[in-house]
Amino acid sequence: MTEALVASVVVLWVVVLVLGVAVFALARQIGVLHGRLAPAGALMTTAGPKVGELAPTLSIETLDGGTLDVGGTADAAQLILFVSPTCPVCKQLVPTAKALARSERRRLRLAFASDGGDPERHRRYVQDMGIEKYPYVVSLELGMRFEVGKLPYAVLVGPDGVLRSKGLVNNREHLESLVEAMDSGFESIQDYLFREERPERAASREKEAS
Amino acid sequence: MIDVLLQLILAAALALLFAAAALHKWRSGPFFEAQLAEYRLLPEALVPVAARALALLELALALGLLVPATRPLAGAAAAGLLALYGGAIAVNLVRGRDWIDCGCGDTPVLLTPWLLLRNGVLVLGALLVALPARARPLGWTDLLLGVPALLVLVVAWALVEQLLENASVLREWSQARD
Repeated sequence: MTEALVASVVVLWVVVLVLGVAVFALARQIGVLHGRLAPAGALMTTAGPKVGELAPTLSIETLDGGTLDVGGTADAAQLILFVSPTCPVCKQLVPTAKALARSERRRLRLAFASDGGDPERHRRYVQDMGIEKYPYVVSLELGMRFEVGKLPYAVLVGPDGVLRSKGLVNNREHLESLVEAMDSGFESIQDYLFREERPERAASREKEAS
Repeated sequence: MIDVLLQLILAAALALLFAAAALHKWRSGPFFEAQLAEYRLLPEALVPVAARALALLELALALGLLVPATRPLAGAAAAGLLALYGGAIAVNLVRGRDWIDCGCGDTPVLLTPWLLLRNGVLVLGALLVALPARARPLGWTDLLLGVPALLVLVVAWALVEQLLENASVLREWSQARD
């Protein structure tokens, strides 16, 4: 009798474990599918000026005494990367932004922006990062106008002064997705997937919006 | 008085959890510092020190939970640390900063009240380890119960983490489409 009970407990444990592993495997597959279906673009936030509308126009003094004109018409698109000397992820992203600006230099002007704090600290940061040749502004207002919440954040303003894309950027893929968004006319990868998968729903939604 | 076997299972599971967490925090270095800074609870200057200290503390807890002499103390300390994490999450949820990464692992998981539930269950487990246990000799039937129970806890933990990640990704998608 006891042997039979012990044996049945062992069998039940095995079954519980197998089922547990199976449920985990299924959840894991769903996670992997998420990754495959939607390559990560820059994380869009709903706050701030809308993509496709005119970006706020501002004229701000840069750290080295020049002026940076944000928005309005220009001969090239403008990529503004919001960083902070205290943000470790930003440090990893600055060289990436420089590389992107170099490869797209014909049509993209890169600028850096940060909110308040000790100017000396920002100067040291500019030197450390080797970004002396790009405009660097310290402005609370700029961040507020674009409603920047989390760093590193990037906004891309087209040559016509229209906000082309924006979002939280953590790596090169995210940064490039912003430029891609400008070229393709899709607001985000999610927007692209949505229109590709369900063109009729996207069309009806656009009709509602207009 | 709770049975010593139950304590052993819970202590081993928590030790595994803390060891994995400590290893991850130590390895990801600046990334974890950024996640910690986003909680906005510590002065900036303290963040790198705190990140290292948390990793070391978790490793010490993992070892402490395995040694019988330090087990009750480590259990109580583990409950405290887990409650502290829960508190940090709760504060940021109340502040409305629910978009920050919880810093639980490599894949970003946004803050949600489910994390509080998860931590609450862990705190209960750690408190059970801290309670005095009735000592008794362990036999082979305990091994038969203990090993599968530990495995089930590990699988359940991995499952909870995975489901939180999935929910997080889904939330980002639905927000991006609104």
